Amino acid sequence: MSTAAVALALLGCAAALCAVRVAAGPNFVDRVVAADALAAVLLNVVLTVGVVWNTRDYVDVAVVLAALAFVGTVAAARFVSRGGPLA
Amino acid sequence: MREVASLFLLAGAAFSFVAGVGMVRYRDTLSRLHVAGKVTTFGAAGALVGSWLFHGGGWQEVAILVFLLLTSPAGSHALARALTRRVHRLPEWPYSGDS
Repeated sequence: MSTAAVALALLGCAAALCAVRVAAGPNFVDRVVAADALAAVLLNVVLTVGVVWNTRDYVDVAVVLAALAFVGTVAAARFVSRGGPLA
Repeated sequence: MREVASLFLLAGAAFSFVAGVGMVRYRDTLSRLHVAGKVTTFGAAGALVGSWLFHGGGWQEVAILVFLLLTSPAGSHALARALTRRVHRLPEWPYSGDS
């Protein structure tokens, strides 16, 4: 399972880098883009943990996570497009 | 089959790491949107194929993959369109007047 350990380490670094962009993004769209990437990284983490622990329950969590990430992105895009504050 | 699944999971994690690096190093909002729209999709696809192979099939992974391939370009396009219209002060379609 050392391959899964390497994968989880890479995913942890990716999540930290996305969190840096969420904290330091100059405008609102930067933060939304980074949060979307963070949700995709979290989907990878959930699937990898499900493989490591040899259980199939976490795939349903991944379904809900993918749906919620898309809905949040579209909601933020509508918010920006309708004149919400961009800073 | 488990080794192949591990390789797919590792490839997905590597793609996600590349997405994180690009998210920090790129200097423009639309460039970062480009990274998040493509590399992230490949990373999630790798993890989904790996999980599908490891667990020996299942409809959830296929459903997530199809959903992701359909909605990731839609979400990226919605964000880019919203940013462009906001920066250039274009009205929202249809032009109802309250935007």
